[in-house]
Amino acid sequence: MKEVTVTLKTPIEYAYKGEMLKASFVTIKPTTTKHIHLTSVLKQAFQVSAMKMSERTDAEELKELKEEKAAEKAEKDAKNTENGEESNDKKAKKDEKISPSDLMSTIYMGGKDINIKEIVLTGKELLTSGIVMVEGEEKLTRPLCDKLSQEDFEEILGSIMVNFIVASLLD
Amino acid sequence: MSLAISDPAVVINNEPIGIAPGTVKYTEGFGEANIRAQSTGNGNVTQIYSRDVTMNFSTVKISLYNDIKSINLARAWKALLNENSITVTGTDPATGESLTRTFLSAAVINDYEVEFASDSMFELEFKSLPAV
Repeated sequence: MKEVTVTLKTPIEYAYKGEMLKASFVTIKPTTTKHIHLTSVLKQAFQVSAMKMSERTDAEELKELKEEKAAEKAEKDAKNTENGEESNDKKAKKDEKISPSDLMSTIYMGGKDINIKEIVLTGKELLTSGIVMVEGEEKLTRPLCDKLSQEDFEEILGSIMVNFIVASLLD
Repeated sequence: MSLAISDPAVVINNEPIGIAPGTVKYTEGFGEANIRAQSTGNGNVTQIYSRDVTMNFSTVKISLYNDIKSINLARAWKALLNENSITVTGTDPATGESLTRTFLSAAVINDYEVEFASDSMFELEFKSLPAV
């Protein structure tokens, strides 16, 4: 697995060689078994949220989907001879990866099955465990993590999850 | 009512540091100033104010307990010469107001003495650019 870079929407100040510099991006190293006590909590939260979300969606959209499918089938029959482009579109949609912010939204929508405070604190511990490097050179420590905007924090945590923690599930 | 700050948070090179309570001291780094009298006759004087900019440096003093982590940290800061940066933040718990001073290009200037004893600590003296 490769390192991932996340651009900060709100740059933060960090100390480097006795000077204060502005950081505009962070790099993220892949998580390992060293972090499994943290990553497993996040992975479980995502799975619970995703399951909950799909249950909700199933109930609400079952009817809608049935109607859509029927319409699709009729359309497909009509376009039977020129089917090349359409199947490519569908394939591209399937290959689209979930974005870090979408993943975080999924977790937030987990409702009361998810202890969101625990998730966020676990995420904070993971971010400051040495896998996130400010400008690729300085470890993201607690004081630096506290300086991150909430949006950037969620983007970094979401990126870690998408790329390293639930990557296999998303595939 | 406001409360005196007695336990500020000290961050050195982005890392929060555990220190012996009540041991943080700093100078703003404005340097020394001198005022001399200039005679204008008949017992009257005017002031000549001068600044000694040669001493426009801040000093930060902290004491650490003699545990292995602190001893190793002190050694690392000394080895970094003047490439350390220190942030001291004190918060008034009553009002939430805070005071922050940042010291850039800080160097450990003293040859600190580590004593292996049960009730011992060692003092580090940093010199840096004036506090911001």
